[in-house]
Amino acid sequence: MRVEVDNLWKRYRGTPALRGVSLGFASGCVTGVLGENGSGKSTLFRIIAGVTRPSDGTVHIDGRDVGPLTRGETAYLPETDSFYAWMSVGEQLDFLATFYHGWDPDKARELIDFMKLTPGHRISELSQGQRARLKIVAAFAWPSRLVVMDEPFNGIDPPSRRRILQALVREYRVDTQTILLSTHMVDEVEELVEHVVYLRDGQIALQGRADDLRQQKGGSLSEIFEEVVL
Amino acid sequence: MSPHIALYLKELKGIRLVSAVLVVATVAIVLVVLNDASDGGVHASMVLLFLPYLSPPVLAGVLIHSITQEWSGNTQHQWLALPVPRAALLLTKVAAVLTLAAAVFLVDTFAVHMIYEQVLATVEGFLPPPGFPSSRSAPTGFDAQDLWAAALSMYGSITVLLLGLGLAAATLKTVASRFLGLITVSVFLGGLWLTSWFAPSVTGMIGTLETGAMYNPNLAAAFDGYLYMTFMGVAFGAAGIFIFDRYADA
Repeated sequence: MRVEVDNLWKRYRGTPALRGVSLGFASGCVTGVLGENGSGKSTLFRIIAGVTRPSDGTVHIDGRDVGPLTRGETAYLPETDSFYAWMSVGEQLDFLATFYHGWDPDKARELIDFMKLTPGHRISELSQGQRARLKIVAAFAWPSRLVVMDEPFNGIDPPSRRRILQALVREYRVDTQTILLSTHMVDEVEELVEHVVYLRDGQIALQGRADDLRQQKGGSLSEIFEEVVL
Repeated sequence: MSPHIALYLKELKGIRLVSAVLVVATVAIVLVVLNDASDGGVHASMVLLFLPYLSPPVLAGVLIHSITQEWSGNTQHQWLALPVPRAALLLTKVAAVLTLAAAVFLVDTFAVHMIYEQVLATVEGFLPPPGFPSSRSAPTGFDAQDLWAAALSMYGSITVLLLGLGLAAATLKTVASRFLGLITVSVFLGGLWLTSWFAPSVTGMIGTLETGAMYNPNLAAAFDGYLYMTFMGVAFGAAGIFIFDRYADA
């Protein structure tokens, strides 16, 4: 899915979180949106996912305004745990299954096993790492065309982080799926992202193909991050 | 299962605890009153049957809590990201609370009906002999059909008005970042003041419409007020949905 962002502004009580961001996310690629905390990554992703309204500017997904139709093709994984604590893992997934076309119960079961989760466990009893892994199940149990992952590794223990990365590599549907991934832990996604957008103070500091940037700057994405963002 | 049904069932489960408390309390009141009334007499405990009719403010509180809990429980991202119109997110919550209201109303009004029939049977001995018109309704000019209509219009209109105000208050709370308690109180007081301020002119306008609509003309005078409160509740609710659709952010 092609995501076009045009002159996007978001102000919270007058304070801008995004300052006229314009960019296009390449279709069928993994794009990393990298920046410090407070750089505007989460706000940008919330607007693309349709859970926050922009103050100004537009977002078009495959030429359509963000709304129920685009939300039906988007798997949004917010930074915070957003599951219903009173549901079990199975109940939460069954609830989501009714909303997303093509939800595959067999795939969901397979992913639950891979992520070492138990359908009968209450969400309130899950650790932070288990909840992060459950987000991955919810995102890849159906053929979502756009996956928006906001800080998927934040506060997660290394084994859970490895599981999530393995699942991403394993489940990513090359060419049909566009993945947007935000993080400030650049080392973790160095090998995963094909395109990179560096955000600083709500504006684009640098963007381009990961390989091109590495060549131009003569360093890793992590080193470029330190040069451009910090 | 359709997404709207799934949302509605989720909302029903979300309020299951308060629903259980309200329904069990209503059933308990009904059982106590019917037990007392089994001797055919009139008892002071029968007044308890009016208590469940005071539930609309509680229902409004349940609706407000159900909406604001999406934010306090951090589930607003998942909730707002669901591929349904934002109005549907709110209306399924309203439907769940209305289901609870319907359960309380049906259980309680059934008991009121039973008591009414019993009282009526008791006083029947004092009625004029058969042949006189409408002997069962003669003492009060008010029969069982009127009882259900009166109870439904009273309870229904107050419930809709307060749920509409609750919807407006809750959506304003999701948009605002400060003075949340003050917002709730202001919306309720302001909304009730607005409702009473408009009442004389509006009820005068609709007063001529309802006279033929009610089975019992004695109820007609009250009916225009109920119709007006229902309309105001829907208007406040629509305002709440508009605010939510335009301004609510995760």
